[in-house]
Amino acid sequence: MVYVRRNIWDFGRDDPMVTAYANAVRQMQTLPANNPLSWIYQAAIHGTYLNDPLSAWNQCRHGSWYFLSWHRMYVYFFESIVRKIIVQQGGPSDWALFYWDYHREGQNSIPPAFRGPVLADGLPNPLYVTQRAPGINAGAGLPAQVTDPSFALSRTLFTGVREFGGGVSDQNKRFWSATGRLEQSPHNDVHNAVGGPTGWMSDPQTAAQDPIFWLHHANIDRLWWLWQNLPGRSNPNDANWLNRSFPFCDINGNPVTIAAFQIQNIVTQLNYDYDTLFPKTQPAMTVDLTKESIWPQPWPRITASKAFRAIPEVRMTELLGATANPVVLDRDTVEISLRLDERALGRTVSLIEKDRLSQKVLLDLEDLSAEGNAGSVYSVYLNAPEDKNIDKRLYHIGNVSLFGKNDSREPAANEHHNAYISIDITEFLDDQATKGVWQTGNEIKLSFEKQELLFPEGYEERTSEEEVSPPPITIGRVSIKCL
Amino acid sequence: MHAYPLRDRSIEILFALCMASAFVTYLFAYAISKDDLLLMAVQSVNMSLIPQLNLIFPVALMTVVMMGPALLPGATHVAANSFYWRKKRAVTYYCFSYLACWTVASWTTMAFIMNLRAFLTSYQIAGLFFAGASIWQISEAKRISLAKCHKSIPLVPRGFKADLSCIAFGSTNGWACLMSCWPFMSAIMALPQFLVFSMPISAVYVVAERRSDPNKNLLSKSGMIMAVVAAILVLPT
Repeated sequence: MVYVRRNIWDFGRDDPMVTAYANAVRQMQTLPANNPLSWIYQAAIHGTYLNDPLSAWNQCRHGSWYFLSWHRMYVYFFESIVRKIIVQQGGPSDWALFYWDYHREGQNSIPPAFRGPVLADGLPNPLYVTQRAPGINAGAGLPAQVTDPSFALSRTLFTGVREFGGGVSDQNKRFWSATGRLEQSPHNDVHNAVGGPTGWMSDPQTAAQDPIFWLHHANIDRLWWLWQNLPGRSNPNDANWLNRSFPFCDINGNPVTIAAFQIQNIVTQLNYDYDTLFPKTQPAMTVDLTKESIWPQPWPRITASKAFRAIPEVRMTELLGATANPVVLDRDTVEISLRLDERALGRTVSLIEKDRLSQKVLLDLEDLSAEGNAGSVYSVYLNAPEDKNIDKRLYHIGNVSLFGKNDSREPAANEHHNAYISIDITEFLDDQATKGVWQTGNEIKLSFEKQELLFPEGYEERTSEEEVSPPPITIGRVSIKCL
Repeated sequence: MHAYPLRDRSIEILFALCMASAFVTYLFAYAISKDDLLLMAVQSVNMSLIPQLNLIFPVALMTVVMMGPALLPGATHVAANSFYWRKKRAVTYYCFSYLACWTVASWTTMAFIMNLRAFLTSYQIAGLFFAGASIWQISEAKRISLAKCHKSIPLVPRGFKADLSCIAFGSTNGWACLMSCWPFMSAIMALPQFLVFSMPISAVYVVAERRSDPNKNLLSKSGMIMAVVAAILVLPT
């Protein structure tokens, strides 16, 4: 039997399928932490602050090309356990986990079933937790910049920090700094937006305790499956990725291991599917590879096939420009202008003309840090005009949020890389050059804008006592490189 | 198809050459004198609390062989994050300040070991150092120090501050690696013989440790092995 995961917004608050999930969660919450079927145990597999952690706990993979495979396995076994409990309770035997498609119009707020502290029968609602960002439980919506997966879906390669699935990382380490585009946006951003500065969702050690976590990850898994089914996309065929297995618990609480090659096809291998794959989210940019582009001087005239060709990540990059001082995101909007080094740009242009370098341009936000959990999301805009009335989303190239990134500084961290975000901005520059928005080839403007939740009408303003300001995010250096 | 060159491996090649040269020099001296270069230097000087200048050369050679692999990722990072016209200078500053930390520390350690020989046998000293290293390996402080080895700092792109930031990165990294590995390395230095053969083994271990998962018990296992070595060295005496 193939179980079908459906959109949570298609179900009413008191729908039997939703109630079944709530009842199963309630039962799991009553079990002791050392019971593999308990809520605490299942959440702790992802991460926990509990002392004397069991060996099966603290296993999540972030900032890594294992991020998607590990979480697919994790959600699959969790769903199986919940289904078993639901059936034992007399619930529907075809129950499957829901997904939360926050980028659909009108569905960007947390589903109603997760908001109220009390159920219709007067019992406490196990799907409700108070540890969320202020306003989330009142129905505040997530901004489109936070929920938009289109850039990630537009990446044609899986492997790489600028690609869909993340860069090659050490197979034993929980936190690395090779975050892929889907992991960053919407995954990390939604975690931070829902959790805020003090909530569970914005901390990998507590995130899975929030029942909405599983619906968020079902959606991320759906987006991966969607990407897998787009033309020209494929998962890595590297044995290190395919054969990497991870330990979990089966429906009886027994240890079980599963490898990435066993979860490639969710329908034939894992017996589940999604109700809709292509509702609203489509890849943003489709590049015409025959097009010739004219970038502002001194960039050479190029063809798209040259600029957008997939380049192996092992190549050394050429630095074109960088900030001399750290950029501190401590205000709602921070703007910087990066002047590219004339000599470096001249040599790069020369190498491009000689066909020894591609025209891929990268924006690197290096050495990201924050004192504590910065449960905030900043959007990055490229060459956006100062006119306040324009639609800034046209210049939106990605987000900065630090979900799990402070953890990458632990001993399990990447060699000589603090947390960083790398975005391939070639398509954006090409588009802006074509439209005449980007006119100075040796200068690039960036603005960082804090994303606020969209509070519903009638929602009372937070009082200053309730509001906890997240610590500022520091970007050690912003640099532009050519690959 | 565009034949874009793969990653520039010149830094890796340069490092391999430097390490091999240092080791060959050491081996050459060993073959000629039938004794270890560093141990000869130690034996040739009088005991003093002040480090002897003639220890500098063998200590520097030893540092290049043992810490070269640990230095490489940082040097690659510096090269990738510097303008092409200042890559060589940036990498040189980084390596120089990193190795300077280790050379000074190793130099001082050797002087300390020399002075200890007035009171203890060579085997007892080495045993004590290995015992200390084994305790350090399993400590939380070791894990924290190892974490700091992986930390980078933002590199200023140009000007005098760029040079300073490369030196600061090298010394920060060098100091962090020193805190992490010094007890083990000093135990190697205290060995009364086989130092020349211990160097490449130590270099391989440093790489393994830096790439290891702290939860996979490499540190505790290596700590246990060091404790056994300490016992072997001390017990016969």
